[in-house]
Amino acid sequence: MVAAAAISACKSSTESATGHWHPQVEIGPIAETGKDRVGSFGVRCDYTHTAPDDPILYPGAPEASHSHDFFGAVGVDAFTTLETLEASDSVCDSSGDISAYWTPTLYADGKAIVPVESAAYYRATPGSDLETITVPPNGLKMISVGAEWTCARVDDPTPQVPECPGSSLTRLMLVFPDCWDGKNLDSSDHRSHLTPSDNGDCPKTHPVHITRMFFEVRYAIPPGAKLRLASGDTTSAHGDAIIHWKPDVIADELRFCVQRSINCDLTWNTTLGY
Amino acid sequence: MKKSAIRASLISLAVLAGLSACGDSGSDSASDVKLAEHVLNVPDDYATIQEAVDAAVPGDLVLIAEGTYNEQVTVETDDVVIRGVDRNKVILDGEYELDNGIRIVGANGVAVENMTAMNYRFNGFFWTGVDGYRGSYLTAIRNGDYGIYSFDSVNGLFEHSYGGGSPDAGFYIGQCNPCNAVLDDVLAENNGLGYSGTNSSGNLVIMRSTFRFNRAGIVPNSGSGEKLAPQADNIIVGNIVYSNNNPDTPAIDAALLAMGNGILVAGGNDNLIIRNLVWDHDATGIAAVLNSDDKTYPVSGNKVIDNDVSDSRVADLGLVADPTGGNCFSGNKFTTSGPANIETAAPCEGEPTSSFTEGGLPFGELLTAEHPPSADRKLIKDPPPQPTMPDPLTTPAKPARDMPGSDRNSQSLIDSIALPKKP
Repeated sequence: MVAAAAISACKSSTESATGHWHPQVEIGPIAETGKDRVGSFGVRCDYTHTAPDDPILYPGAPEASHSHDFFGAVGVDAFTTLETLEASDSVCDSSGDISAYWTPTLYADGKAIVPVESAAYYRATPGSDLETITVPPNGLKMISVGAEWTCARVDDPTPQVPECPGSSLTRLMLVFPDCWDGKNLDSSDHRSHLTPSDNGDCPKTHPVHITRMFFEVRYAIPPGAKLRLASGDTTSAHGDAIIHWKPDVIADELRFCVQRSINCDLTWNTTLGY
Repeated sequence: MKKSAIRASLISLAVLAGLSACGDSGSDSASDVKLAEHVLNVPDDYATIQEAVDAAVPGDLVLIAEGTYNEQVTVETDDVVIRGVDRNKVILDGEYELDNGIRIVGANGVAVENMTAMNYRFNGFFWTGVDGYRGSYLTAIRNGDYGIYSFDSVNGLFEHSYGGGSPDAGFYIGQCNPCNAVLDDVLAENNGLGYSGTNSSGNLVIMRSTFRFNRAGIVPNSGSGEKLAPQADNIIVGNIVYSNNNPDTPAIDAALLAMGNGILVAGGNDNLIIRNLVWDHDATGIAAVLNSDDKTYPVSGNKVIDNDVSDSRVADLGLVADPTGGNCFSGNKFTTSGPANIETAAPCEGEPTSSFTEGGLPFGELLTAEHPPSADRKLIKDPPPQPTMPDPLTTPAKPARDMPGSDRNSQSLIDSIALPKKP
């Protein structure tokens, strides 16, 4: 399993043949008016714990990974599977979301920073066919394809961590792929079963269009601190997830919110438009 | 949104069977008043509110009997009226497990009346993405975000309603311009904020209402977390705002920052604050200050006129702007202001006869002051029984069209609202 995980988003950048891992998908600008609605639902999923575990890249191998911060489902570790998630509690504030989300631990001057807030958003990519879009299936293992940092609204993101004014929190914005091959919940490289859409169009290899998931983590970073992630420098930012929702809850969110282009259940009243 | 074909087939069945299509035939037999095209009774006709809502077509009335309903309801059909027979005895209880009491998602013209929603993770009553909404005789208590809430919606009315025990706000209208919305005769207490409105602008009137025992009373504001910034052009008139210093409320961070203020315009513009009775605040009675999250939103063009403000520990009237920002203060009954001479330095009519030379509002100190942390909303007690809707069994159902209504949306009405007297 370790060999199969050789291509690893969670290894440090010095271990990768190409150096830093670059985001492939930009998060995009905010729509200018309230009328440009993109259907979405969101859920606050708080931080639960930190551990050097990774149930996607190192399943069954505790402490094999670099340090991760975990959010949402409680007690996620190297042994977490869809079955264990089904028996888990969650600190997500929606009754339906028992997914596991995690990101590399962030260090400021060598000291780990505990995230302040975090949330997952599921939305339709602009250009999506709202009749056929669906939600990620339970058990789907996901690795992000884009990561940017921001203080302000999402139209000012950068790959590097900005200096945020005053008491403003620093946000890590992660975007996940939204086209699925329709068969596999995972793949040998943990990525190939998913790919980003092209403005809502999915390729024939990955015909199932799922909601594009974003995960946002907010940190209180001391001014002037030297930052690094457990995975390397801050441009190595990424996120992982194993999806698990109560089927009736996520089906309602898809139907009422995404397919009707309505913003529902807003977390922090934040709308990440396009 | 519901298919007209479904309705046609139901009517056909009714004709053939000699029975009503769904629920009652629409009339109250005792008085022959037609309540609606169809009345769907819960639980007599439908075991749950959601089942009734799903069966309803535009123009129908879902009428809910006394009882406690552990449901969360989503409405996607236009022009449905959902009514409880008794505001205090029709209770939707989320038991801290369910997300929203009644959530109206993109369905226009939906009115919700005469019931209580409590203990939801998010909101008691929530409209999003709609044109036309009304909440009347509603009680929302101990809900985790807002009590009664509209977002990205226009043409609405919240009236004769109560919001209590929410960490963000009892009442919230956000991200609209023009909103065309009215809050009239509402009571907000024991919340983080009594009213909050982020980036809600244009013909939004808060009137004849009471905001008390919150961390802060009425807080229109600009913020980066929603679109359509900055906030502007609200009218706040004829309200009673007092004792918003409550350390025992649940409260989000913004409410902790705003604690001790009666009416606080945070980064908003061109609001009219007129003939409000405001007293007993640890910080300010009425103030306009810049707001800063990831961007800085100054205040400009706000008019504070003919209010009665007293017993504020820092300043009855306050302003943080550079220097006046076009904000003005006239005709107010007050004792202290920060800066000093606020009405002569920033009058609404005539030229200034003094300048801001001293006594600036200690804004930094107010922001960094320690406040008691958020309390557990589960500890907030139920309010006493609230006034229930008159004649719920004989008043015809009216979908929320032409809101907020010509009788609420008039300059003559606003002009006629006097400065309230102390209760």
